[in-house]
Amino acid sequence: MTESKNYRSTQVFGDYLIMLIAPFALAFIYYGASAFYITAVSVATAVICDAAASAVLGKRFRLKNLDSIFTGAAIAMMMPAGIALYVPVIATAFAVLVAKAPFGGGINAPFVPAAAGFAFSCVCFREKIFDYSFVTDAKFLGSSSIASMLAKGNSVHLNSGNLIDILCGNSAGAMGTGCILIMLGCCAYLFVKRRKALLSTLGFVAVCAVFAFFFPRVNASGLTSVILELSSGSLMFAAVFFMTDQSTMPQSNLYGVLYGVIGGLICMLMRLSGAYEEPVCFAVLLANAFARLLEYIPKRKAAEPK
Amino acid sequence: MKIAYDLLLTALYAVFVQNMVMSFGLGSSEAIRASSKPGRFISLAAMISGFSVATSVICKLIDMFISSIGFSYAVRVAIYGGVLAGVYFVSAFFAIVLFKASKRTMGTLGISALNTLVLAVPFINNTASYSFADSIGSGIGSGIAFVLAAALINRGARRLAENKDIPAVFKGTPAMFIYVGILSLAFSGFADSTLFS
Amino acid sequence: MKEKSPSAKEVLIKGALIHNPILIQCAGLCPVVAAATSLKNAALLAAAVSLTTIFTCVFASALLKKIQRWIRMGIYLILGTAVIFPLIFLLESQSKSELSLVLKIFLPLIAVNSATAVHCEQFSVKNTVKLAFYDAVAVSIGSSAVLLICGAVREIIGYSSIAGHRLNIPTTFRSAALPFGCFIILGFLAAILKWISAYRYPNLVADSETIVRVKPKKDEIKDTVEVEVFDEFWNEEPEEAPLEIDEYDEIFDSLDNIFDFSGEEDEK
Repeated sequence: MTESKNYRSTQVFGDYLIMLIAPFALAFIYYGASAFYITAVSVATAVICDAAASAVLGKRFRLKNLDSIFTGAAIAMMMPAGIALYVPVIATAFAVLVAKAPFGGGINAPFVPAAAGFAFSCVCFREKIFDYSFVTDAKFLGSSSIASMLAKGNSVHLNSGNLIDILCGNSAGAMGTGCILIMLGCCAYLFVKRRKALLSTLGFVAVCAVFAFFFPRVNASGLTSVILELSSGSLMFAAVFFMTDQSTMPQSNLYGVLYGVIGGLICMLMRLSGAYEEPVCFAVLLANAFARLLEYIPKRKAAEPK
Repeated sequence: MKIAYDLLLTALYAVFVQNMVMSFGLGSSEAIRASSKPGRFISLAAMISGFSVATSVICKLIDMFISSIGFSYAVRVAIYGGVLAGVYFVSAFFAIVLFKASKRTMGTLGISALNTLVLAVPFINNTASYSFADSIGSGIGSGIAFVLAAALINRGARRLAENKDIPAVFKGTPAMFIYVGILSLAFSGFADSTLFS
Repeated sequence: MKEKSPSAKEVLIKGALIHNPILIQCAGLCPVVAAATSLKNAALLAAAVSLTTIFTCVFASALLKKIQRWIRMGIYLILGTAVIFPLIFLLESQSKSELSLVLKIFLPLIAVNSATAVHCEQFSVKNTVKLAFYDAVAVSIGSSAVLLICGAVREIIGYSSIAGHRLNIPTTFRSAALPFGCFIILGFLAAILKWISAYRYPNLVADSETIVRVKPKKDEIKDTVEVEVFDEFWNEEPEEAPLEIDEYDEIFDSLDNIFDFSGEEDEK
């Protein structure tokens, strides 16, 4: 890998890791030491797998690229707090060994490795990955997550009390992805650092919101549906951390927005089809592939008039 | 109206929810091989859909005609294979005699007929007990599903070719397989279980 | 068109290993990906693939050389069905219960296996019956090996058993039985095969390797490459310089690819 790519990798993933501090802190506050253990194990697995893959492939391992650390940490944030440790280990190993190493590192991967790892663990361990019964005492809705409630077609009447719970992520769910306020903070950081990337986040969230407004899965007002859909599962987390991934998102502004729009549309369709409680990672992977298709169409048109 | 709705629904199902190529691996080798020829995508979609629809409709008719006779499954296999061969020969003959088809078109016709996806459609219709409209829908869907998969693989291959950092052992087909694998994983987000497992 | 005849050993090594039909040529993927979920299924599919390939290739080499290509394609389909029909009939009469879905749907699909068609067109109709037979055997060995390895690996990690015997593996991966799991296994197998062939037969790999070719397009500023994935299996034509977009259509016809017309019909 060239020096400039190494430098860019450190910069991009360094920013993501700084952004991940807040979700991690929240996970630590809500779930205590187990949040720390899961994150540590996941990050350690990512680094070990990356080093091993580099050794086998005869490449120089650079921890400073930070991509493997980000992959491990992001997967950990999407896991429920009570998960058996081997699940994040396997998810991270898949992300690094299958979705990253064969393509020559995180900055070259055609799919977001962390999304691939989480999607893989969804397929393999679907009962464990959506089991949020670890710490439920102080939780809004007890052990049932907003995503599972939406999937069953149940709704809640929003008031100022439970709205704060929802916005702060104080409901059963993945460790570090539930708090919309923190995600907005991450967006602000990204706005300062790499504002172009936010275009796809914007497209993604806007489409999800519009879709939730016009096709609510629950018997409630459009606005309630929007708030519940956006705050459920890892939707915002994926929108901020995965849809902005530099190697997979298109370079031009228009395509960036369209990429987000496609991702959001696929995500909401997958939520409607209901194969998984939280299919956002599958949607990100499909959007990664469809984004390339998007670049193809106008080029063909531009070439033909001659 | 009901028929049109069924047809559309089955077609959409075959393209997105359980993309025949990505979720079942049907016709995947042809999709990977044809992916390098974007100029042929439209004709491929039309021909595969055409073959699938014609084969599944004829097979459906034969099924209805002889369903009362309890015959061996092997006979059904022979009939379906024979029907596809018949449809191929008739269309190839017309293409050459009436339309003076170019060699390229005949080549595309060959890929479309000798394709696991096309032959699978009547078997799927039979196993899933699809209605007449569903059979046509799944036939049309199969062509679109094939081309969607081929287009996605084409873009992936292009991206892999641009990537200079791929380790030497993964260059070419290994990286391509893993790319297709992750793409197939992404499609499984629409529907968890497949029809056949 | 004259061409030098390769030796039997070369044909076997090239067909089975260096140009493995599944791992390197991407042909005949459907049975592996969709149906080889256990060792037993894989063995059955391997037998069917081998029978179909050997029968069709030898038949094509012996009788179909003079026939036009489009007719040959249809004949391969009929020949495939002719081999599969008695096989299913036999299995049906042997088994007491109804056939499994794998047998009902995916075994018949071997009649249109692309590996068979690829080798018939690329090798059998251009070579003697003896060489065509060796090539078909090599293809059968290559396909069967991949089928059996994939079947065994998927059964072990997907169901924690091998050939029906239970193993004590603490965790199983449901995904191994799904098509995407197989694609990923195939990716790693292909990488291992590439490494082995480069290590063991460097001279054979160097002269004919499956490549992802990057071809310049006309509007170079906007878009510099077009990808061409194909196999240069027994390529008759010398390596050509990158072509312009005007020649884009001709490329399809000149490529050594099963689906393109070249050789005898081009000369007319």
